[in-house]
Amino acid sequence: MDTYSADVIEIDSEHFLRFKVGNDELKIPITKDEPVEVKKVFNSLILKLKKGSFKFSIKEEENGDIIYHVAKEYIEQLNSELDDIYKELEESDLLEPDA
Amino acid sequence: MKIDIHTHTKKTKQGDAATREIDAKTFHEIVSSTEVKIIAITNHNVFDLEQFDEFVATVGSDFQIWPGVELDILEQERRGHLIVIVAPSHAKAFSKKVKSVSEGMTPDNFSISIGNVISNFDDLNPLYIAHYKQKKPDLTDHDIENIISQTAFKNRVLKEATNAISAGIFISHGHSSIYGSDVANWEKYQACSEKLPDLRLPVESFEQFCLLLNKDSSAINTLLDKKQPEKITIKPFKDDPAFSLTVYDDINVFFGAKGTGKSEILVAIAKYYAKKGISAIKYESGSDKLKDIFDLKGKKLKIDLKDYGIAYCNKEIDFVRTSHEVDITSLSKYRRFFSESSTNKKVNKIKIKDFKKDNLLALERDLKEIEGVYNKFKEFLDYIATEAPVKKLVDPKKLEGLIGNIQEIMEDLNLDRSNKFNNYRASYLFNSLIDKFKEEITRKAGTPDKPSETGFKSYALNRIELEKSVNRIIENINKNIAIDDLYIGNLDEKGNLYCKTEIVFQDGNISDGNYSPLSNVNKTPQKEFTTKLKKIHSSLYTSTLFEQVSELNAIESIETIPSILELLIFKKYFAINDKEYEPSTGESSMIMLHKELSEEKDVYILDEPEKSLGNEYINNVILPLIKEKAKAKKKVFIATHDANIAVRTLPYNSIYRYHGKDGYLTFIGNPFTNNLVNLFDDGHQIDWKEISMRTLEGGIEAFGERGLIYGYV
Repeated sequence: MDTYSADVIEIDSEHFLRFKVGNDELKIPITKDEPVEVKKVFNSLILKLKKGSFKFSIKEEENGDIIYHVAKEYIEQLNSELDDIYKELEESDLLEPDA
Repeated sequence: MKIDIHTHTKKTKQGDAATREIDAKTFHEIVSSTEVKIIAITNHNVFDLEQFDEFVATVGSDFQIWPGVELDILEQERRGHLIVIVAPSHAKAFSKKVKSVSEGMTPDNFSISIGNVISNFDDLNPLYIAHYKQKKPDLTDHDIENIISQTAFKNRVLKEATNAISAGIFISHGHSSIYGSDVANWEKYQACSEKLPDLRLPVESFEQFCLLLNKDSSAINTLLDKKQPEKITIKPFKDDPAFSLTVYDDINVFFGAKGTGKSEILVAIAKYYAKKGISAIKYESGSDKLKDIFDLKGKKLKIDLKDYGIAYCNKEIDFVRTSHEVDITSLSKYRRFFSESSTNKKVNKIKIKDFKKDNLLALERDLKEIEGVYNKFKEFLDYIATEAPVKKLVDPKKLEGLIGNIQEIMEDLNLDRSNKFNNYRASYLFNSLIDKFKEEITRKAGTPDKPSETGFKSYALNRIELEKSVNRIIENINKNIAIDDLYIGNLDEKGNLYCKTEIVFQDGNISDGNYSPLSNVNKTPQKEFTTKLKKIHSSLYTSTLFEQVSELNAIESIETIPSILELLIFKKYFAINDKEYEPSTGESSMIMLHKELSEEKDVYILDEPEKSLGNEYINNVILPLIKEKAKAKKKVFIATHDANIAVRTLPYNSIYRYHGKDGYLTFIGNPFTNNLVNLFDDGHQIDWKEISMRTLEGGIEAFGERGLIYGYV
């Protein structure tokens, strides 16, 4: 299983949870609700999962702010769900490992 | 059965080929391998009684051997040959006579006058067969008249021709004629026997044969009755009374001018047998009917996809069509939770709310897997423990052992199943507990609950299920249904004609207008369905997925496609060498008639089978098939204008329809008596041969070319 890094970035006063998956960067808006954008990221994550299992890790911050806590909790839950979905893809014979 | 009235078993003259010599065993073997059932031994100027007796003893009842001799006749310094044949019961007396007349002479220098032949042999009730015309050395018409004038058996004087055609020509000119093999080499007998005359009636003796020559009606009827005559009563004409016909398990021919009601009689016969529960349909030719017979429009075409290992995919289609987007957890829920909950210390102490939920999906899958295996074992155990054939066929001890082993396996599986079920239920309750706690905390403390999942799992599962369904539909649509090749018949040099049925799934790319939907569905939704489905497949993990699903649902009459069966399209066509071919009218008739006669039935009813067919095809293909049916004791009713069929088949029964100044008349008879008798007036008789020659197309030729018409030589 690969581990990709995640962090929180700020762009134009909005915070995003950024996933670095290989050469790709996926961004989930934290400070505003944009489900369409989140779903786009989810779609990408499913396609990535088909190539192999992975999880995200975010750098520990002792005095992290609320945004950090949101991001940390989100990643924790997402990792668990990524694991379940990878197993489902495997069971359904939908994995597409690179040749 | 065939008859050979002229054979040689000995080289008696110097000019005779040595290959005429044959021993009893070989004679028996060779003749038995042919259809010849009556054979006359007619050596030149010699009758060898010892050989005759040996041959008779060897062949037993396999076929009849008649004693005879081929005599050199000398009349006014002209030489000709005359065959004299007698009944086997007269063999001894016949031998004495031959020896007596040939005393002091050799077969080479022997000769005898017609007067001496008659005076010596006539008291043995013989059959005289004179070489005639091309059959050399021949007797003249005058010689033959001489024989007829002196013998007491005037109907037993026949003219020997060289072959069937000559015999037929003589017969058509009023001569009684026959021909034999005059075998020169027994090694070639099998091949030459095929051209020998056919006996349509099962003649059992020399005497019976002679009675037939006399057209003795009781003898003929005795032989006809062996074919199990059946009296049928029919009413083919509305205004005329019903009438009875005697028909045979053989060929029954209806002939007469057009418009004399032959077809109506056939329809009435078909009805008669249909009422008795016997399959009988009147066959008529016609090119358009070929397409109907082979269902080129596919009206009766149905398939079960399971036969081809293809799933119908009803559930999958339904799933795709009713699928919709799944919501995900809003990020604001996380923000709200972390901005408010951290201040409530009591709430923070309740750790259960923060527990990670168990993965029910995996547990459920494990449980289903073990249940599937357990149920299969149970099904097998029920089968071997209860089915009577298993108990009957399997060794009881082995069966008991097998049942014991299966029960042990099932106990293990059941234990595992219970554990898995408990795990699943425990996790289910655990997850419910977390949800309940969160709900209560939110309610009591007024703080928002912490989201338990991002929504990714539900979101992904929804799309994965869609992908599985779409994949399964496409995978099954991509499967091939083998092309069905049905052999129809042979079209001589053109090759074999097949009816091909191509059934394929409309994958959105087929625009060949010759394909038609197999089900009651329009072409447009068929074509659009797969196209839209493929778009869904390529959009599975995009934002536009459900727009594509909506487009699928928007296809006009999409409801007419509940399964992939409705996506099938077909094309049926005739083909030769895999190339599409449109048979001509004549070819269609050939094929239909061949098909009709190839079907196994007890009654065949053919209305003008010769329509659109060439003589060659009728003679070479159809006549042998019709004769085969007669041999197999099937009833064949044929209305025809064609002498090839009406005469060459030598029907047991000829029914002649006539329309004259007295209205419609029906005559019934056969070629053996040569009479046609008015059905309602026994005294009104007409000549079968004369009427046949006059009424039937090609009548004269048919008589000219036919072989022996028994009782009518």
